[in-house]
Amino acid sequence: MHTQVAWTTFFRWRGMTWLSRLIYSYRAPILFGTEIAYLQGMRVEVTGADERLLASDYDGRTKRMADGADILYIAGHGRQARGQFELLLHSDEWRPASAGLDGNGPRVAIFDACNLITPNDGDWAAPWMAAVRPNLRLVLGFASNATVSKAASFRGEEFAERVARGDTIAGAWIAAVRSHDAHGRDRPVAIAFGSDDTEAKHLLGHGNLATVLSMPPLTSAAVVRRQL
Amino acid sequence: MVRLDRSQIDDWLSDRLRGTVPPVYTLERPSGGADAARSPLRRQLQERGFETLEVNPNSGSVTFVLPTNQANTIMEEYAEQLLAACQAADKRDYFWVQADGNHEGATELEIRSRLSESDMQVLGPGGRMLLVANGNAFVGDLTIRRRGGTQEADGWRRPPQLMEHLEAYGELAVTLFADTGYFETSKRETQGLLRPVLVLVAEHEPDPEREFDVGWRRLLVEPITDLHGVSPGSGIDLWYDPEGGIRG
Repeated sequence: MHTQVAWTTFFRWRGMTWLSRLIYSYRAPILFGTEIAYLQGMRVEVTGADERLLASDYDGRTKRMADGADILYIAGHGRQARGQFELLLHSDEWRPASAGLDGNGPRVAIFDACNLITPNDGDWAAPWMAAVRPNLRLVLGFASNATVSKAASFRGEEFAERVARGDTIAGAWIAAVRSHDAHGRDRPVAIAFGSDDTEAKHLLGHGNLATVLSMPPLTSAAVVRRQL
Repeated sequence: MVRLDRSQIDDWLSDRLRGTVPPVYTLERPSGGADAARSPLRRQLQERGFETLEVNPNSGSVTFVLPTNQANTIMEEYAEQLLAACQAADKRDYFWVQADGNHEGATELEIRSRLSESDMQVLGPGGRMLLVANGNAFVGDLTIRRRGGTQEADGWRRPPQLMEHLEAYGELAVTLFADTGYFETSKRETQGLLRPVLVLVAEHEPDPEREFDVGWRRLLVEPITDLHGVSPGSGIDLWYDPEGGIRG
């Protein structure tokens, strides 16, 4: 089994816009990686940090870095732009619903960043349904801004511990975020991909790591469900 | 939490830092430490019929499984047992967070606490029981530390440079949410003091008119009482970040 972790703590100016630093964004992916390696015996690879983490390495322009991984845990700024989630890295932007999580991508992708979806957006699923993604079964993130701080980043370690224990992946993420949220304003979200609605719903309610890793690839467009 | 704008913070805080100065409580070390079998909290839950999974040696927090009925809701008798387990951990006022106790269909529930002696709630990721749906059950974390002695505080403490930090946001649209109360840390942290704090959340929503604007949320946790010979960060170690917290 193979996990990838990556993060961005500082950002290049975009035109006249300065993006605030996320000085502790490294902690959640690192804590996740060390814990899942220890508890699950997973091989963990750091695939980039700061200016060495490029969207083009993920979206196919130069590489498809996430291909072959089972889990991807990546942190940076996030936002909704042009109707889909965009992960802002040091010097460029990755739109994972458009490219990089299709083909031979990971089973589970965690975006430790703001605004994976906007909760009141009725079309939130559309970008995720636009392509066939054989491997991708769960995408985790926030349906709100995300707190990035020293102590809140324990969510990475907590998530690994719960996943390794056999908890459902969606439940593990929601519990991990809530366990380290000091103010109740972080809204974790889990998105599941199934061949039909029953399977997607079952994944959210019952899919643990062993289940997800053993699932056959999807052969047609997936049904997408979310759990907040 | 109360939503405020920057011009309201000063008055709001002055109003909170008034009256009898609340004490600080020392917290007992987790019984049993790494030896989960010796944890009295774990025993309490087991005696009430719950399967326990682990005890965190840093906090003494116990993780347990709560069966649900066919509708995947928590049965009424368990709700009472869970409140009793919280009381056994430390004597406080406990309450279900969801109004009117309606648990039906929820995937996440919590019991929070309040200290009646000081009439202050307990804020933070600890001081509560968190229950999250997991398959056909709920997994619970009971993270409530037992209080030991009290220490009288020297007086109220106004977080230094708070207004300067907020003014540094300039014209940026920032929404503030604030609360005061005792702060209990998460299950993964050790904590020796339970002290009153200000929790301040600053949030920025992206401006669609600015091409690369992004949202963010920053958190400030600052003690609101002074204790002679005790640093401001004691008891809230990882949460106390006066330089990086609100400024980013």
